[in-house]
Amino acid sequence: MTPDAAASVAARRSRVPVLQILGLLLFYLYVWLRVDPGLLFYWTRYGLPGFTLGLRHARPFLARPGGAIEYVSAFLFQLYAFSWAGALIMALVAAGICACTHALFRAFGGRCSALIALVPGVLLLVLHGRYAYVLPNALAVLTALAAACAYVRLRRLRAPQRLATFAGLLAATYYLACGAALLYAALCALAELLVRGRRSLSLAMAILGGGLPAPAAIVFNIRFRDAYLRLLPFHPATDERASAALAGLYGFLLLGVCLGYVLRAREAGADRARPVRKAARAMAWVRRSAPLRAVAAAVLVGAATLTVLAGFDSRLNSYLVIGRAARRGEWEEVVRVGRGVDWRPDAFVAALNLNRALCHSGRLLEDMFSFPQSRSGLLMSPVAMVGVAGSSAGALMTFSDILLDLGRVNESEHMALEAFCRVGDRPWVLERLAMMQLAKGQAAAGSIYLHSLAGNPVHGRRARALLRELASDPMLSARAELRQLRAAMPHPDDSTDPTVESLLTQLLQTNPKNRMAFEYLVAYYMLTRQTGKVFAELPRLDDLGYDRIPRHMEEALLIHSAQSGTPLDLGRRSISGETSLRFARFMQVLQEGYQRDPKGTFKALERDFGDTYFFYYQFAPGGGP
Amino acid sequence: MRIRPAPTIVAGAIAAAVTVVACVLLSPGGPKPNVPQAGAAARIRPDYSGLTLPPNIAPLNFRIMEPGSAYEVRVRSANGRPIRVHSRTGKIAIPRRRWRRLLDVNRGGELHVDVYVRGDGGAWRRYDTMTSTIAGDEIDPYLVYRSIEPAYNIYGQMGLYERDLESYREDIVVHNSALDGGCVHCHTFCQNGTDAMLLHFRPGSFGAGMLLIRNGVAEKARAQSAVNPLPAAYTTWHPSQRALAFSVNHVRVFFHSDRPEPREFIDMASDLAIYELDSYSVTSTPAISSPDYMETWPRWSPDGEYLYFCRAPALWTELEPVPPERFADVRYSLMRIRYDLASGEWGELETVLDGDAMGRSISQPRFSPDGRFLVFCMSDYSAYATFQPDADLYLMDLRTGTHERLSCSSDHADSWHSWSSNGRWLVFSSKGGNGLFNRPYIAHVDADGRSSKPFVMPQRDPDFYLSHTRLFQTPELIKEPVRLKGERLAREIRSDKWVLDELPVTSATGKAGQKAGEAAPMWRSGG
Repeated sequence: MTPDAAASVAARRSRVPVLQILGLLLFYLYVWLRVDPGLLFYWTRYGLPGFTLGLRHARPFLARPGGAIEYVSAFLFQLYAFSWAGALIMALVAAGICACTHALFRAFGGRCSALIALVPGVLLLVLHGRYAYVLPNALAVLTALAAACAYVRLRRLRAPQRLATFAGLLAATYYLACGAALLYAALCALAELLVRGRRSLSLAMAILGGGLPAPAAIVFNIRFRDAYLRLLPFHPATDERASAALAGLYGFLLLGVCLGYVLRAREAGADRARPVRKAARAMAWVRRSAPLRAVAAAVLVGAATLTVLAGFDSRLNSYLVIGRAARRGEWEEVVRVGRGVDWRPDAFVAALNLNRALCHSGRLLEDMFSFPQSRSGLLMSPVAMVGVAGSSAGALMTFSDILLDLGRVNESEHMALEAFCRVGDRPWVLERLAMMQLAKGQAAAGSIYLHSLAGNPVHGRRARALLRELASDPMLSARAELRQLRAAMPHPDDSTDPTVESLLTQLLQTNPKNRMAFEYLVAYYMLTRQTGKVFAELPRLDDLGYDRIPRHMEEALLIHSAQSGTPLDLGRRSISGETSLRFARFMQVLQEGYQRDPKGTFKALERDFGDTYFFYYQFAPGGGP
Repeated sequence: MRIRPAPTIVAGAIAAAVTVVACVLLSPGGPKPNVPQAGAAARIRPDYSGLTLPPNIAPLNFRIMEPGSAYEVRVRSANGRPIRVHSRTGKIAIPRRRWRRLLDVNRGGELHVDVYVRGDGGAWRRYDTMTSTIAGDEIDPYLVYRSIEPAYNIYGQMGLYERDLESYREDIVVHNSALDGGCVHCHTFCQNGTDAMLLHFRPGSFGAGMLLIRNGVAEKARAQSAVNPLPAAYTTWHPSQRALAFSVNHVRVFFHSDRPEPREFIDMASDLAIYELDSYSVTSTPAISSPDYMETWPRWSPDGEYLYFCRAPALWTELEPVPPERFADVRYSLMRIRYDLASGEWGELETVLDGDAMGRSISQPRFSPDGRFLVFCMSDYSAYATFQPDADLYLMDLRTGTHERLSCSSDHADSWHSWSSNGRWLVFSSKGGNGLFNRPYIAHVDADGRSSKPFVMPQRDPDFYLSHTRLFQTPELIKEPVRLKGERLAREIRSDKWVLDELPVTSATGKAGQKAGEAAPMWRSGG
């Protein structure tokens, strides 16, 4: 190497990696501000881990390959609750993978564009934008790449020593990252084959790497499938929405090193003035031309940006924002986001949360028909809930929330336990289960859930405080929310599967002041077009302190009056002039235009009366109760 | 020639000396002999005071709940060296070998535990000595149980575990993560041995059926037939290991709106049958599979002559809504019927204990190995004691025919009991203490059928149960470890090799006294 060339290499090495730092910063900001990892933490979804500190809880993880990374991931996932921290974790993992990719590609190809090395980061951004939980998989890839980087940096070792080092690193990588160790083995074998030309050593590594999981399955007493595939893209424990992109990542890494080697070999051929193929010549020309390099970089950056933006699941983001806000009791936020949501029929969990938020902010009977409504978006019988929820722990947990708000503690416990079975010891599930036992006066059972939660180093503080409180007051009688729950719980015991109507009327029999039960009951009657029953519930307004008839109730009463053909006796209350006027106009437009131009009339009514019960009553699908 | 010690040896010796001195100086310093008395017994968790202990049990680690800055416990007995355990947190971890030695040389004697606590002022006080009895009879060293979340009607992570009671070692027998999330349950052994074992599995990708393991060889069988579409549930081995009696239960779950335990299980119908392993066939008789009755919880008598079971009149049909109107009126009686395995001949049906007459419902009968005692659950109604807060364990002396509540029963549901092979220990699953989570309790039963104060199965971490959100169900005592377990067992369940896909009903008999094969199959569908 000439002194000039050496100086150039040294200068390149000492240069601050601006591009990488910029990429990392953009990654972090995008994940923090756009993706918001806190949404993932509050998502009631199978496969997202809880965490308890201690050897007893770590032991089952440490007893199998890949478990160590899964345990660490479970801990780190708890930090996702704080979006900035979750974004930082995601960014650091991505940075590690990109740095290792860069180093590996250089080891194979001699040179590697910093932009190309950022491709894994782009893939991870897409996955984060889809709210796929890939932390253990990403950590496994990082472990495998780091081990491969360590291996390819080995110098001046003979074949037996290289093989021994490879084997040592393979064992460690396999224990930590399970199936991802296959990536490590493949990269090492390729390095020996392509870079050093040691075919027999490469073959030995491939055999060793590919064969290790088989005896490991016997030693660790696990399935062969798990021994080979755990933490790889297509293992059942991997988030299925991430499988294809993760497979792409593995493919990119393996193909990338091969391609890098091929290009280097061709360039070397060109340097030796052998006949050069057109493609290699073109590549070399592009590299030498600064403007073309800039254009290529711009195209790559543009493609990456488009990929990330197109990959972002904004609808899921809205639902998750609603879910988290509802879990935190931020009702205004739920309603605000709900107004901008592209409502689809499968969004009934978000609809449940929206109606719950409307009720808690006193607007259910005023505003609920401003949003698309269906019976499944309000409440169901517990049996129907389990049937509808299927394997959706999110639906079960939302049903549990609503039932608890209403005062149906046992039914709420039923739903929460079903969710617990599906999602495991997530912090807020444990807290919910604890509070329900405490509401029922079962302090000993409640404290077991609380102690379990107290073992979570990130989210256990509230549980520890509750346990201290329990020690002095086993009934937690100072807590208003528990007092309210105890007052609302239905009596006497009923073991039949309640209908929605009986579920709510029992609550009102136990506690006529249960405003939420009343509003849900009236909303249920309206959704099932039982306007006569809405009218029958009118006297409860006095008990519950309403100063006027809520708008949607007024609308239902007008319909009932029109159908029965007689004016209704509303006692000292009356229907507002505005509502009466809107009803008259609605009926006029309907009667005049619908026969003539159904589509046009529907659109006109939707525009002017889409937020009324009149419109729902006339046009919403579904029949009576 | 003068030998100079190597520098490393010198350095090592100095380090050792410094360590010893530091330990001495920094040690909390135990209480003096004339420490003032606290005047009460120390509060400890779990409650391990006043027990009868198996001489081969693992150390009963506990936590002292008294406030203090240092703790000392002295475990002593008539023979052997006492054990002193210091703690700064109140967590008492007793060394296993010394504990075992102490218990071993004092079989039949007393074990005393002295608790000292140093208050914040630095003064020690001594609490009343806790005295337990060390029984002469050992407990079977292994306990197999099912671990599951407290939901019952669905499950997430579930597994059968084998716990070594002499240490804290726990092995997975089979975990449903190896079965793509299927269900495994109702493991059954023959006379506390593992040469004959059975467990049931449910869908899954691998079908629903039972896995029979005899002498280490596994057979996957479906105890279903054209007349019985439901899989077998509660099973009992004939002592000869040549037959199994099993129930087929059409089980449903429902929920209470205002009861501490919201869940409840109910049989909408149930029947019994016998699976003869030599011929791979099923036999039954109307006496144990009548449509007018629900029969369940089969149990062979230790001599193999009688099949005991629980039976209640069918107060509803299978098609009724759940729960049926009279669900709280169903009371199971204890019945028995003679069955000659060699000839296939049935005897007359006999009522052993009439549930209706007592106004209580009997379930889960289990014989002591010598056949003298029968322990069963009794609750106000229902066949599923574990969901009935009033369910207690009762012991029937089969010589006298009398029965009484076992004093080891708690004020919550006690069920799923299992005898040790020597008939002196009873393990059962109890919700005592918290009302929701079943824990395995151990009690001694003496020659007259009196039970001692029960104690929860010891754990290395005395706070284990404080935060354990899973249930211990179906604890079964066994004499030796399960032979086929872990992935090897899971592989057998996953395999598609069924010994029989559908069992032929070959020898059902129409009436008591008839021989096998004389009548058309009467065994009806359970669901």
